Amino acid sequence: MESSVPPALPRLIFAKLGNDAWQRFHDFSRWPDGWAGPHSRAIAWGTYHNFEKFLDSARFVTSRTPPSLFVTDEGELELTWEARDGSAMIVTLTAEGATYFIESQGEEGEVSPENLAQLAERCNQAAA
Amino acid sequence: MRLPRDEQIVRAICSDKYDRTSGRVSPSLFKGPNTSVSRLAMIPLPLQWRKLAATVQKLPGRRLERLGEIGVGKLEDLGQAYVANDTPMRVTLTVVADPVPGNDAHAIILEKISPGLCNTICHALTYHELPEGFRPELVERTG
Repeated sequence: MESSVPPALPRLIFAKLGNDAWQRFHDFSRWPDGWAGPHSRAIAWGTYHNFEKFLDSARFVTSRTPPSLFVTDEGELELTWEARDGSAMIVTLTAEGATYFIESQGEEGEVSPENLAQLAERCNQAAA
Repeated sequence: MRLPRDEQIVRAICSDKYDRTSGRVSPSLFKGPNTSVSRLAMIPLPLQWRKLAATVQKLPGRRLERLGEIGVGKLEDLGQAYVANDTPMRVTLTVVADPVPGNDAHAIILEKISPGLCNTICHALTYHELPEGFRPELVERTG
């Protein structure tokens, strides 16, 4: 792993998201600036840190399969899973906090790093 | 040049935006701004695979997995109809030709698109799987 990855994060990913997400994270964390073209970015330290904060409080008990982990061209980490009713839950962790979309509520927005635990709890409730 | 509503476009979907295990596609596929797409009117679908694999696989670990197809008119309509937070957003989506060296069929969607609208667009795509026998990892990179 890159040195900027918080030491506890890989284990947290494995515990909460499973082996596939852990493998994908392992790959994404090694991709340098420019991996998808001149404007694409490596994952920033702040994004790792915010990802860890969110995962600490998130539960994914309703999803049929474990959440999927993606990386955006800007080096943000995106989680997608389903609520109990099958609707989409999308949270993208950025260096500035997170953006989210809760399909069942037709709601999207942004939160700051201080509110990531609150966002995780909100997702837990919306997905139940 | 803005593309006409009756044109079909495809978006390359690589391993960073596709989870093969779950079958989920990343909504950030269309996040933008300046999302790259390719015009089927200029390069037919069977010939798109090799062209796109040569340009998008910039790292050994990044592999072309699928193509997502949508009409320009359909894309524009989805933006106009999109509702978020109980508010009609009436998002204008603009697809313009953007030929680049080696690919005259390149075009871009200009706008940055919210996660909810990206999710709606992903649901509206027609997905094309890798043609039988085509191995994108063997295509020489040109981009």
